[in-house]
Amino acid sequence: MFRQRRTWLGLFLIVVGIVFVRVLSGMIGPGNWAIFIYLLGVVIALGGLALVASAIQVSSVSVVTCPRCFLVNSAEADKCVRCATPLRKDDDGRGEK
Amino acid sequence: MIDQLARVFEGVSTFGQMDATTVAIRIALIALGLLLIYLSAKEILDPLILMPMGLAMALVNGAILTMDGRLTNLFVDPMLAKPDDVLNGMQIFFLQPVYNLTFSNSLIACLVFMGIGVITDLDFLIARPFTSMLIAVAAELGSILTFPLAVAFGFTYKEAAAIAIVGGADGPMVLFTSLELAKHLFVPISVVAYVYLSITYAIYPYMIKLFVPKHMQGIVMDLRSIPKVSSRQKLAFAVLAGTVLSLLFPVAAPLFASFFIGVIVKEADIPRYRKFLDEVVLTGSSFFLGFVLGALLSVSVVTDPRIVLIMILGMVALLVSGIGGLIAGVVTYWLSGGKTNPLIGIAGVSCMPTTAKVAQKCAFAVNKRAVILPFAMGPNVAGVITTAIIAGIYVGLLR
Repeated sequence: MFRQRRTWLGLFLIVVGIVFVRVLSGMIGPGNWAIFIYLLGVVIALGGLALVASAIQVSSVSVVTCPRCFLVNSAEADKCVRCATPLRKDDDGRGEK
Repeated sequence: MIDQLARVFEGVSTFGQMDATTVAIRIALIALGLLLIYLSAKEILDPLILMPMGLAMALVNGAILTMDGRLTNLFVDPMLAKPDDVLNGMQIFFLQPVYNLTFSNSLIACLVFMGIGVITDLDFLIARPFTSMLIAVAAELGSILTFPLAVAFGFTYKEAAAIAIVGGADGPMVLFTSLELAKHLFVPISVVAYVYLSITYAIYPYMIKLFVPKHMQGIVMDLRSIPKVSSRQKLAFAVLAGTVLSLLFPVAAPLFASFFIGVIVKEADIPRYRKFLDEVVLTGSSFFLGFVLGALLSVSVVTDPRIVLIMILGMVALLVSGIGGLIAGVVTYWLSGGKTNPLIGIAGVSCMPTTAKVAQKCAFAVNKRAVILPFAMGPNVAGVITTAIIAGIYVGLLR
């Protein structure tokens, strides 16, 4: 996570956003500009948070969805763990073509 | 003789001490309570909150009696403010300790949020952070547009913000914001929000049929594999997100702390805490939330004539948020080249996991192979966080 450039860029944006919200908007004083800086800071910080999230390594797990109750089961399961419906494994999960 | 009978059947005789309008409101509230019980028993409305709320609403308006020369009940008196009065009230009104120790300081909202945190899965949010956030922000359209609308109807900024946050469709957030910004409107806003949150899920499917073309509703998404993030990374993200959001919105920090402690307990895999937060804290706080809210809706408390306006604005907020979510869902459909089912947009309206289930139900009604529930969970979780952010912005700017 911390080896990726996006993580550090995201953390930088978070710091910038927090400075906008907590420091700059307070320095400007009450008024429309202060609200604008406050909201801009919120957007920058949340963008940074999303950037950090996007840098997290995501793997994928094979699954089979129960056709009856929609529970997502492990690909190895023969029947649904909730309703015991036999699971079809011959399709690609996208249903009818 | 009549005096003695009146004393024995005080609940009935107090009708004679009220003016015609108050009697009508009292009867209407009893009828509404009974209706909520009926609809909850039929599972048309969510019984978890609305069953105890309906029962308390019917009973509290039936059990009005005279005490110290004024009409009251023995459930709860939310008007007590002075410390001595509160202490005395705790020995008289049986729900007063629950109200003063958990409602008036927003603890109940935090307890519900801890429970929500422990059933939240961050995998889909982390796997598609920008899509989830885009949908969730669009699904806050009602929370944003209702604010100027409420101001135009004569509400103050604080009152308007407390009403607008109903559009976030998140009960704890409505409680928190109304307690922080408009305590005098806390009861009507919260009750309207919780009743609407149940009713809206019956309305959203019709809205989906109206706004999303049928061929888009049944789009099947690729479910051969689902994203998986390691618990350690989810834990790190939860700590970072909680810290950043608390730094940005200190006024909403108790909500963020509660939500992320739930997430952290789940990801740290502490089974005893997990079971405690899910089965004890969430269940217990949901029960008392419904019961105390119902008990607060007594005829002596609901005197604000603007309640009809609050009901209209609350509905507008929820419907506009739903429309915003669906528009974002359609945008996502186009951006993904037609691979994303636009119904996941409705899941951006945060109430977890109900709106995600509504999306799944509607997709299933069109195509029996359309499984979109796992994909709808990303916007659903993002919706919880964005509603807390909007609440933090409102409280931060207006308090």
